[in-house]
Amino acid sequence: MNDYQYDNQTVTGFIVSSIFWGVVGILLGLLISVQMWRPEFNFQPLFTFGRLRAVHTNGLAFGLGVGAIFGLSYYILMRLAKRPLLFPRLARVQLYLFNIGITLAAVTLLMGYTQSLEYAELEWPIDIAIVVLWVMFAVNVFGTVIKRREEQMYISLWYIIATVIAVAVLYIVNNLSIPAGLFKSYHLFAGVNSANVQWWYGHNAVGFVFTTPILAMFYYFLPKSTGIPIYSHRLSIIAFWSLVFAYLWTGAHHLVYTPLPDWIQTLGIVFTIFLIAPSWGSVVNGYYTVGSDWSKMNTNYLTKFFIMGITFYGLQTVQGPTQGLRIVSQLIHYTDWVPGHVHMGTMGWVTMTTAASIYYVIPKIYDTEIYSEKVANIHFWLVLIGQLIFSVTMWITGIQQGALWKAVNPDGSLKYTFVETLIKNYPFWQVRTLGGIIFTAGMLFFIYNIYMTMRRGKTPEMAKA
Amino acid sequence: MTDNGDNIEAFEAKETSRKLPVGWLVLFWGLILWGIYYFAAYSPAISGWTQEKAYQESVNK
Repeated sequence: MNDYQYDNQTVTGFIVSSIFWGVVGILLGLLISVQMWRPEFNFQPLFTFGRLRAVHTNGLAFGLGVGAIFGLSYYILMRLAKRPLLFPRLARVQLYLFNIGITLAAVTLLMGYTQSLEYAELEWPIDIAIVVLWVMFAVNVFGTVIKRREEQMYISLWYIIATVIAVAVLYIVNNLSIPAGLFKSYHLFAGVNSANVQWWYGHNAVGFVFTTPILAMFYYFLPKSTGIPIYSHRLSIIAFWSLVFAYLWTGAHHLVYTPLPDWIQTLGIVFTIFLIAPSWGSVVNGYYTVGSDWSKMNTNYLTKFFIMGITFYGLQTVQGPTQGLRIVSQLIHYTDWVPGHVHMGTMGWVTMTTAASIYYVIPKIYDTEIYSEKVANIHFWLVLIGQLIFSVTMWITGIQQGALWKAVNPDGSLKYTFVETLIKNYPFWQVRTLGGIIFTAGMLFFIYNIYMTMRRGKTPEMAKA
Repeated sequence: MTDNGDNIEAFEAKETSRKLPVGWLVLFWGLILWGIYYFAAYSPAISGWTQEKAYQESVNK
């Protein structure tokens, strides 16, 4: 059992690192939300919106998101494969390299080094480090799956495998570039091709960082924490294969009404709308699972996290595809609707589900109970309210912005100047900051709860079999 | 530590593990059919629709 203890320490290391980068990313998010309506909060040159925005997105997607994905995937993997990791020391080195990588990412972005590709800002030397990191993850995942001691592969393993393969392909292809010095490079693809590859990557970062690994957690930790088995195994498998098949074709919906060929845009929209079905396969499965015993919503404090998480996943996977339709895109594209959409996904689905998974894992590893369910409930309500304020205000101002931009006088000239439309955003941006503060307060309750649980429990080395 | 391996059967509901809800199947096949229609309707090579023409029409209105 010593192997499990060593691996559990690695899992804990990833979780703690992920929470650390989460705090950094969320606090920077608060600062840049203030910068939107109080320009004097830009501090030249390092702490300006242009630089901090990329640190915020990268810090949370790769620091909080991928850190938690590494740790929780390893936890799930060991238990479903019924064995410790095949390469425990490699996983430990991966943990150290992960933190070095995110640190370098944050520093270089603050210094202004960027490839100017959204979610792929990091320059080529850091890209290489990230590929090395991902190969370490892949070797351990595939090695442990191949040497597993349980023949049947549960759905969560399929989602983890899809994550490993898809992210590798997406990240490498979109980061192919020609270096021009240590911190400057040019995308291998040019013009429309560059845009198409970039959004093929950009949208699937959402698919394979914010969806598949989170579904792996959902399918694993929902039955584990409630004790209720998943309603339909067949539905979960069909939803999985149709999801991974459709996702990789959808990126072009980011380029509606651009020079990208019309038929590619249309194909992207078709696959995007189809994606509602596999996404809702998981939503329906989640509801039917808990539907066999709704009293778990009261008796088990984690159930509501998972149900609320899958509910926002369900809302997102209808709202997002709808945005891809030409008729909707022409109103809300390039407006604040888009960050509203993204944040309902990241704050409502990803963070909610990940936090619930961590609530399950940490007491197990430390061989204790959660410090306080009451604190967890406060955390739940604060992040829920904060997220709703954030998303809803951005939707409203997004529609307003789009409508003002499109308004024309009888002679065809624009009715409003850009600055006039901008000023109307200010009250909504202020309310967004308020939503962000409430969400951040909720996350602080979460961190306090996890910290106290760790203090109360035995350390991973002490927890004997 | 007592949680080092999972009994895979505990994850699957016995009676319903092979069920596919009818409403979901309608959604699944419906979206595939809609996709075929939409692709035909908005592909220049099939229907003749282009975003350039659509733009001109909206300007002429």
